[in-house]
Amino acid sequence: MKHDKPEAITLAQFTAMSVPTALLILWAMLAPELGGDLELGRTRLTIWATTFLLVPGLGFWLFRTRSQAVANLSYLFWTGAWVVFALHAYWAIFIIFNGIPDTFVQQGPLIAGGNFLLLTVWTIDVLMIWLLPARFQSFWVQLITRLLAFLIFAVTLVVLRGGTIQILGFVFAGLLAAGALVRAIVQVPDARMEA
Amino acid sequence: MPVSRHRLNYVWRTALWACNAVLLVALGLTGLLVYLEGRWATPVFRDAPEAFRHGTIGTEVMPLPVALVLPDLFPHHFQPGGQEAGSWVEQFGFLDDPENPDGLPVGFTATNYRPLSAAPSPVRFVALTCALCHTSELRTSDGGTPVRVLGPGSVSINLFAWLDAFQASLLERQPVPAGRAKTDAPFTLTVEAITADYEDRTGDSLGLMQRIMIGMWLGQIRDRLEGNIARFDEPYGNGRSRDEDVTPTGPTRTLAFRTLLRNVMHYPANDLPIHSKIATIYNQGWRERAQFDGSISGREARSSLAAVAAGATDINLANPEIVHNIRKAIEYTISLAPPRFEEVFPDADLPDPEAVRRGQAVYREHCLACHGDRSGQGWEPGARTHEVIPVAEIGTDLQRVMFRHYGEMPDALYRYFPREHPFALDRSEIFPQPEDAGNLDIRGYVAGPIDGAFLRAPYLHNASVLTLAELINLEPRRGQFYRGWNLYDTDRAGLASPPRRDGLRYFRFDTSAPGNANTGHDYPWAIDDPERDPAALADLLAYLKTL
Ligand code: HEC
Ligand code: HEC
Repeated sequence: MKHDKPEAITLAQFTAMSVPTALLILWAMLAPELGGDLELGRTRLTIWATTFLLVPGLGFWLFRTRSQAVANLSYLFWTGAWVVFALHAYWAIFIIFNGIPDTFVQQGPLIAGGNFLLLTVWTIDVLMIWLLPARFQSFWVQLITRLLAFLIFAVTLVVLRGGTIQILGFVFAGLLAAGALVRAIVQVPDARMEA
Repeated sequence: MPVSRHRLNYVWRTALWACNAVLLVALGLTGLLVYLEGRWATPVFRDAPEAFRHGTIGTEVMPLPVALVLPDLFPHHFQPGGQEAGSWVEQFGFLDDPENPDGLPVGFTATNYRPLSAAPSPVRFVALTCALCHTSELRTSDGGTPVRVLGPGSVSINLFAWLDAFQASLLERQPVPAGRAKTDAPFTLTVEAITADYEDRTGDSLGLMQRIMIGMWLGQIRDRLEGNIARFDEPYGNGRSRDEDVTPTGPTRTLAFRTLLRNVMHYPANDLPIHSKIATIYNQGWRERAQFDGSISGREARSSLAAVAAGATDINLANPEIVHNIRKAIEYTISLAPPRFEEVFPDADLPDPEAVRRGQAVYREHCLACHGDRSGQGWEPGARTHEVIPVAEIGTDLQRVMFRHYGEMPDALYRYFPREHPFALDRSEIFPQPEDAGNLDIRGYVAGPIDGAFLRAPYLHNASVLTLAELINLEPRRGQFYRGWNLYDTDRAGLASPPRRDGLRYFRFDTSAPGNANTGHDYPWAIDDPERDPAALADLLAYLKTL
């Protein structure tokens, strides 16, 4: 087992993802009703929600070889995060800005380009893990996509933004960096595992 | 008895399925809400006069049903002069608008935007328009036919008194048994009370979403008002709203900077006598500086900040319809021209043409330098027109420009709109400039064109001089007078005041109170100047009526 694909997902595993994801979507859509700029609030909170979901999505992925359950949770949260990110992209592009060309004008080619690139590879990755059989799964595609997601989120939240979302960025980057460190400490070559 | 693993598993799975099903339904309903929201508000893009009259400028105050029922439910707040003294519209100096589809007075419009955010709303909200403050009604006898003019500041509207009544209604509680804390009692105004009275009045019923929105608004505004009690104290209400000790601004005037001091800079700004009369807005294209103190040079800046002063925020001022309304309303004021004296008062004695001619000579000798003069269809500026004349020279009331934080306000306003905001300000268009923040010597009032002079009554920025005859010291200035629905005095060009307070002139204007001084601007001559020439002044008055 290479644990590069979700397999034999249980109802409990699915629910472990669906409950936080659904609650975060409800929060992102409804909390801005209470005040402030409604659509901008939704756009902002969907980013918060994506970030929350990315922590288990990326964190479990680091440890996916531990068991199929960990691997499943990792792919489930990764997918949940993708759904919320797609929602965010929709709000940003079509509700805050006036479509894709305007998004490039308003955000500048670098930031808009980075975001569109992420959305594209993330979508391809999600389609691949759910639709293609195990032998077509590529560790490298998964690694690069997740690294890209991590970097874009970490840089955007920590460097480009100020205020509370910057704190979220530090927590996000810190947790995952710590996770990667732990993974580096605990990992052993395949051969020794088998022995 | 042993526990069945099988049954336990069954319950567990059912719970998980239920959980997912509930969330799916919740997501579906949220999606439906988002979809419906998209159809609640359809932006309207009006032409210039319509934008001025009926366009919201981001000043949504309360849900329409609330606006309709409050005066019914709280007559003790909304009819301070008693039931016999007329409707709330009359008692607070608003103007009836027979064309308003909802029966509201001039300057009230209904939109589907929520206050502060302009988020869509299923229930309509009442918003204030430019016409609310900048429309006036003049009459020469009680019961006589009034003439309605667009452009001068309203002479009757008592906005701050009305706000006091409004806030008092929202915070009113049921009576409490003796000995119990007032705050234990429930509020009088509830969504049920609003719905019931609204249905009685209009025969329409309110839908679920509309009631939810009204409830949400009521909860939020109440929280804010209650939080404000510690800073600004309680509203008075109960027939006291119009009294001069409660609302010292009285009719015609606002505390233009107070909202900015409070909402933008977060100061208490209590007891500041920074009374500002509502300005006349003719021919803005002729003016280089707006506001009585000349503190703004950009036209957009003036109106966007006016909207903020009237309750709009950086958020709703980015709404496309609201941006459009403000820009169009400004356009409307660029070349809006005053009517002529004889058009407004066809029955009044026409100024004698000879006197007018002589008066123009007096005017050009003593007034042209500062105000400029009419020249054909245009306006000829004088040497000092558009200059801010320091208080030390002009001698009129100084409170409006000497209050605490005056110098730091431009910076705060400048920072208020983010750089990419449609109304982002340029620091160079708001005064004082940073290097002058502490310079008291340059603060004063702008000497602008005075076209439509006869419609600018009461005169001076603090509305402390009732007539042009008094302003030019043809007659002594009154130290005390009464304000409300004043009649127009066509001889003296300005407002008449009864000798005593009466039902329609309820507000005592005492020029010795802070912010009310009627001193200064002793042109051409002070009242006690030995050179003062009453005949020349009478001619000047005749000329001023034609400006
Ligand atoms: C709440 C009442 C109110 C509303 C609503 C209002 N104004 Fe005013 N306006 C005032 C007052 C008060 C002043 C004088 C401010 C000062 O200088 O102290 C003023 C001043 C002005 C002036 C400057 C005139 C001058 O000679 O300096 C212009 C122009 C103007 N308003 C246009 C508008 C427009 C356009 C709108 C709608 C977008 C509007 N106002 C809405 C109260 C109002
Ligand atoms: C030194 C410059 C100066 C001269 C000379 C001067 N004025 Fe003024 N005038 C001002 C200023 C400044 C104000 C605003 C003062 C205030 O509101 O406190 C003003 C206000 C007025 C107003 C009131 C406008 C309003 O909206 O309330 C009228 C009317 C007026 N002047 C007429 C005249 C006449 C008539 C003369 C000549 C007899 C004259 N002024 C001479 C500077 C001048």
